[in-house]
Amino acid sequence: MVLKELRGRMRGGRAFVVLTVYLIVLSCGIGLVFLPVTSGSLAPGYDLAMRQYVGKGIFGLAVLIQFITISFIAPGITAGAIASEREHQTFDILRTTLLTARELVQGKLLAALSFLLLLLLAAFPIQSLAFLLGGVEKEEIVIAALMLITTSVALSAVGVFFSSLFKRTLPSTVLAYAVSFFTVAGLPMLLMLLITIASPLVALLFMDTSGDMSPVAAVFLVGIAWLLVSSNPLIAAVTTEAMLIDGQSPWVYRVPIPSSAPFGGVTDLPVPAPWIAYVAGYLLLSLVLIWASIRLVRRPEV
Amino acid sequence: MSPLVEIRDLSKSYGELAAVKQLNLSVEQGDLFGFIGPNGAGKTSTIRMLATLLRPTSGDAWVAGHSVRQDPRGVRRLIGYMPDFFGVYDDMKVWEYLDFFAACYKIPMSGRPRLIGDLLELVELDHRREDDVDKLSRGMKQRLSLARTLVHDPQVLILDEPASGLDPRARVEIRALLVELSRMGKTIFFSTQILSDVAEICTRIGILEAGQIVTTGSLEELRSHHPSQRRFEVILMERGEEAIQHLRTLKGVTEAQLTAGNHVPGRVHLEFRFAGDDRELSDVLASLHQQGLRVLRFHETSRDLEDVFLRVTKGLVT
Repeated sequence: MVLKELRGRMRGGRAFVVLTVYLIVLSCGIGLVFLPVTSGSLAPGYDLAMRQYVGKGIFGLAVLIQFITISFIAPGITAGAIASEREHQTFDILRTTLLTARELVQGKLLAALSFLLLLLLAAFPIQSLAFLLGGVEKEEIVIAALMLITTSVALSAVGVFFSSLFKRTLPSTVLAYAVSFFTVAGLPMLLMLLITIASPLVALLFMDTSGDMSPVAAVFLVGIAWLLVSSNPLIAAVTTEAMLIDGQSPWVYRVPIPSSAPFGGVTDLPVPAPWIAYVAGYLLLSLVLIWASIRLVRRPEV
Repeated sequence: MSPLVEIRDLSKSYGELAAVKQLNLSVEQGDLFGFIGPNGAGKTSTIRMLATLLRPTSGDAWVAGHSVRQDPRGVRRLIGYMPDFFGVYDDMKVWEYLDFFAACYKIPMSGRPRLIGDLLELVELDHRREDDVDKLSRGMKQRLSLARTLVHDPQVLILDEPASGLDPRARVEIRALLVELSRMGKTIFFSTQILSDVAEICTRIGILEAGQIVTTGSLEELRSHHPSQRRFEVILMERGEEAIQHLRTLKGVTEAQLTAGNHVPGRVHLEFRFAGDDRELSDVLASLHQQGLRVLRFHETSRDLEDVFLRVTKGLVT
C-alpha cells in the first residue's frame, strides 16, 4: 500500500512542484535573515552574540515555514486517502482482498508521512545555515524535530480519520482543513480570547481583596494555562524556547506560585515542559484517531 | 458432494425495503452459473453479500464451507470478486495494478513477475504491460479486472455484470474468457442481463425476481420445467411462402412466418414456433424435405431463455 501510494504521489509533476515551491519559499525566507550576515553589517565585527541570535532566528524561521507547510499539506494528502478509494470505486475491491483495515489505514498514513518527512529532510541543508552561525542548541533541534513529526502525524491522522468517516473527498477535506486551521491558528486566538475574558473573572473568583491568590486557585489556573499552552504547537514551541533561553531544563518548567503554596514551602510548581505535553497529547490523540479510522474502514456495510 | 457455494435463507433489507428475501441457492464446483433477473431484483445485493461486502439481515451463505458471516476472511481467500463498476487506479501501469493486488493477497514478491506475466497472457494484455491503465479501452480494463480477480488463484469467481457496457467485440472476448476459466476449473457465479450470453455459456442458471429465486437449473432443465413454444429458424434456398403454408399444417407448429431481412438471393429465412416434442420436431424437418424444399439451415434460436424468463418472471421489483 505504501509503495503504491508513493508511486502515485511521486509520479507526475505535482510532488516536484510542491517540493520546489516549498524550498524556494524556505530559501527566500532564510535568505532574508541571512543577508545581513553576508552583506557585511554583521560580518566584520564578529559579534558572537549577534551571530548566534541570527542563527537562532534562521533556525526558528525554518521551523516555522516547515510547520506551516506541514499544516497545509498533511490534511490535503490524507483527507482523500480512503474517501478517494470510495470515489474511484476501488474500496470494495480492496475490502475483498486479504488487506486488513489496519494495513490499509497504516499504509495510507505511512505514505503520507513519508512524503512529509521528505519535505522536512529536504529543508535540512538550507536549515543547516543556522548551524554555521551557532546559537542553536542540540536540545532545540531535537525538540523541533519531535514537534514537527508529531504535528505531521497528528494532522495526517485527522485527515485519514475524516477520510474514513466520509464517502466523499470534499467534506473530508473541508473538515480536515478546518480542524487543522483550528489547531494551528484557532487555538491561539481562543487562548487570547479566554485570557481577555477570564482575567477579570479570575480576579473576581480567586483573588482576595489584597490581590493575593490562594495556592489551590493558583495551581488550578496554572494547570489550565499549561493545558492551553500545550495544546497548540506554535505556543508550545515558543514557550519551550523561552524556557530554554531562560536557562531552564528542557524537561520541567518551574512555575512560580504564591509563597504559601502547600508543597512543603516550595514556591515553584514543576510542570512538564509544554513540548512534552504537546508531543504526548497529540500522539495519543493520533492513536485514537487511527484506531477510530480502522474501525470505520472495517465497519461492514449494513 | 456438498456445493461449493451455498446460500441458505439469505435476506437483505434496507429499512423497509426487502431487497433479498429468504434466498436459497447452491452452486456446484465447476459450474458456470448465470444469475439473471430484472433491474432491482436483488442480484447485486446477493453478490455483495457473497463477496462479504454487505452484511446479511438474516440467513447465511457459505463458500467451500466458510460462512460469509462468521469467516469473511476465509471466504475472501477463496473468491475473486469483480464489481459491476469499473474501479482501477488510473495512475498505475498495467503490471503495477496486478502487482499491487498480488501484494494485497500476500503473494510473495519473488513469485509476482511470473504470475503477472501469466495473467496478462491469459487476458491477452501482455503487449500492454507497460501502458498506463487509463490508456486502456473499456473492454481491456474489464479484462484487466478479470485478471485481477485471479491473482490469488481463487476457487470461485463472483462477477457482477462483467459484460455490462461493453461493445460487442469486448463482450465476446469476456464471454470467451469466462468459458476458458471455467475450463480451467474455476467455479463462476456471475450476474448479467444479457440472456443470450447466459444461454450460450452457462451450465446452470438462476432467475431472480423481487429478491427471490423463481427457478434454477440448466437451460435444458428450465426448458422442460417451463415448457414454452420453442422458436426455430429455417433457411431455405427458395419457395418461402410455400414452406410457410406447409409448416402451418404440421403438428406442433403454432405459428410460421418469413423473417425480416430476406434480401439475399437464394436465401429465404423463416421462423416458426413449435409446441411439440423432439420426435414431432424431427418430423417437421423430414416433412420439409419430402416437400422438396431445400433446407440450408434448421436451428433453434437462443430466445428460448427469453421465453422462460418472461414466463417465470412477472416484472416485479423490490
